[in-house]
Amino acid sequence: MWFETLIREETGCAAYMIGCQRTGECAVFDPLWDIQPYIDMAKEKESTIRYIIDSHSHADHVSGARLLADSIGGELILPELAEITYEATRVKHGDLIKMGGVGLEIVHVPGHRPEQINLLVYDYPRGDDPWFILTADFVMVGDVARPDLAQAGEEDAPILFDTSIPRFLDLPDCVEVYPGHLAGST
Amino acid sequence: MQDEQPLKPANILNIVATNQGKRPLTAKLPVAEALSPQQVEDLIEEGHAVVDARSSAEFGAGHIPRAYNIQLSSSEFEQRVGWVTPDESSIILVADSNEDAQRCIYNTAFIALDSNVAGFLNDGIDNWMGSGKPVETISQIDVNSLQDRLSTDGLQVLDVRSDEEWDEGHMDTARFMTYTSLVPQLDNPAKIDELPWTLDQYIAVTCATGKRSSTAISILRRQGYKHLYNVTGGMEAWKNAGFKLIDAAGNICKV
Repeated sequence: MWFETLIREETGCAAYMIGCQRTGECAVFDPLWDIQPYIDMAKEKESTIRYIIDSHSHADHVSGARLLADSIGGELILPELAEITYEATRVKHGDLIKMGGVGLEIVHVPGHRPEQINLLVYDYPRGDDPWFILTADFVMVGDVARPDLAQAGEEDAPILFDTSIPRFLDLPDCVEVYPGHLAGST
Repeated sequence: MQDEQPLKPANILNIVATNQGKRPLTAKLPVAEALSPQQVEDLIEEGHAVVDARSSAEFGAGHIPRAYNIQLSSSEFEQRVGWVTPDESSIILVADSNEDAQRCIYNTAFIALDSNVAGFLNDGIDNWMGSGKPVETISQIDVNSLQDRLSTDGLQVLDVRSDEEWDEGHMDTARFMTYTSLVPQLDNPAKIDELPWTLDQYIAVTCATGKRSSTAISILRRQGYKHLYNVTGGMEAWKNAGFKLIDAAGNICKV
């Protein structure tokens, strides 16, 4: 398995790419509007972008997911609860996307947005436990999701604390955490 | 608690709608129109806002009247454009070069603001000046001159940095108001009305390095403040010159 972080320095937004060397497939999680860096990275890794996944309908930046799918033909994947007007494969809590020796498990973490998902990533040759989690706008450096950004704050704060945070805390202690933002606001 | 959070993007609902497919998604690098000085002047008449993306020194040396100075060199360029310009207003860019103007438009596309950009001043400010159009200037003041004038002629100081930066160390005579609070759309009515000065007051505006202060000055200028100075190098320069700073508790900071 290979794993790369692609950051737009200006805003601290992080997109992630995960691939399986054996099958030559890879996935992109939360791409930004300019999709060229992901196309370049796939080329460098001699991989084909197979899955393009948006964690939620972002409120701080324009997603490049649809542009990437239109451009290179990967499968566009969005959370079951995302209110979108375009076609995409929908995923829900517990779904598993497999690429050779790599597994991407969908973890539903409402709060910031009702639909938000995280990716719990497995590298099966390495072991059966998950290796890391991509937390998008759910868990960030020293903080958790802002429920007040793209909706009224009070409504979704309870579900953040009652559902999403326990799901996160239940993960094995050795699971690494990679947030969708390294600075600034989501 | 929400008040302590970083500022949201100004056009957050447009960004979500774009990502949901309810607003058009820009597929290719947006190319804005190169506008002649006359076209720019006509569009300003129609209510377009001018964003001057050059450095504060260049802006100070001469800019289109009522332009906002939001530097392309700022890491938050597109966010600041969203925060400072009125919602849904059409924007005309002024940059060092036509290539820089395209970079501005590229950056705005990341937050769905590119659809607000009507175009850019072709060949920049020289073209504007050469056509005989009016310009405004902003005086720049270095920290040594500022220190002298504080004690001699009652020059006032406005610090427009963030709360955290202010608390870490500020000038003891300065007033504090973060620059985004000066913008009417973010805080309606704008806190700008809470400033204790008349429009005739001489005011030096400072931030960390002189960028946000120039943005603040461009906002204050639009409100009618006549005598504004941009502190070159900002509080970094003040600190490096060894002048006094006090912290949130009013104690003198040790440098």
